[in-house]
Amino acid sequence: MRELLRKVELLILVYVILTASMNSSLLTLGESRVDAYIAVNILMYFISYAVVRPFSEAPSLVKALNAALLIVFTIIVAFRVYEVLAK
Amino acid sequence: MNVRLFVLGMDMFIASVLLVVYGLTTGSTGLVGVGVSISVVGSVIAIYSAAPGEPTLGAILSYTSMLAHAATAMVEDLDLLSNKVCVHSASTSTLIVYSKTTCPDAPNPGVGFAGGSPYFSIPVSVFQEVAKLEELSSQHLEDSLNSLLVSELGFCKAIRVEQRGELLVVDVIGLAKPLVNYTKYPVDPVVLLPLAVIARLVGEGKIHLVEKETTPEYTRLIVRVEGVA
Repeated sequence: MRELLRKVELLILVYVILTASMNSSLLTLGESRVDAYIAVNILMYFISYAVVRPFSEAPSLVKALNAALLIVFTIIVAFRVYEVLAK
Repeated sequence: MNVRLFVLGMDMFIASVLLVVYGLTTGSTGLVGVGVSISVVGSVIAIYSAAPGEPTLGAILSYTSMLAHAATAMVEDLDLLSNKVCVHSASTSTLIVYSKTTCPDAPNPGVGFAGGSPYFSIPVSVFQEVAKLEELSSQHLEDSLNSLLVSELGFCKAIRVEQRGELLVVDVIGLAKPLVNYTKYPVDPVVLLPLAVIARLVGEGKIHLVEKETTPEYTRLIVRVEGVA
């Protein structure tokens, strides 16, 4: 259980570091689209999750979170693709 | 639930809301984006604080049941059902000892005899990296037990410690549901885990379980600490 807690904490650490660096970079570059921040944030979460792999099989609560974030990410990307295609 | 993570997640969420409000009032959409991003991080952390252990918990509980039955059979065979429980903590090992009379001075792991009576001792290794308390006070012990057993292991909802003379009264409040079934066995987690952790925190010596009272709200363990080095 302690090992599991350490992995969850490691996941959060990696996720927060990646998100903080990406947010700073986007802000420095003058990015003003809110959905860009959210999409990059979700991407950083999935990268952190894939690198750390805190669970051999994720609990249902984490599965629900992953699904929700994936849906939000898909919607944001879909809107951007639609915008490009509609032009 | 991991309270530390939950508080961290909620703090981040609240701070992010303030950042979003500030961004909206100043017309800086970049700040709003950063705020929303931080709120996502806060939400993820708060959700992870409530995430239960691995789904293999079921397998672990089945395995624990097998071990509990085995240990119960052993305790019954040795006629130690109306036993005394103590923890013998030395520099090299910590043993939980079930004995008929007094706690043996130098028990060996497994089954042995001391003073003509049998004893059954279980070697434990919990929180080996945790340093012992510099000062044995009820407040320090309560804080450490809450940190280790409640925050880290999710053993119960809270632990309260009170000192009465040379005795320590430890109340285990809201035992975790998966563990409730095991309290009917002689090898009882509500006794063993707190005693083992107390032994780890107080250092070398013996921890005697003087009395155990069970109420619907809590389980009260009255323990005596002896010969702490």
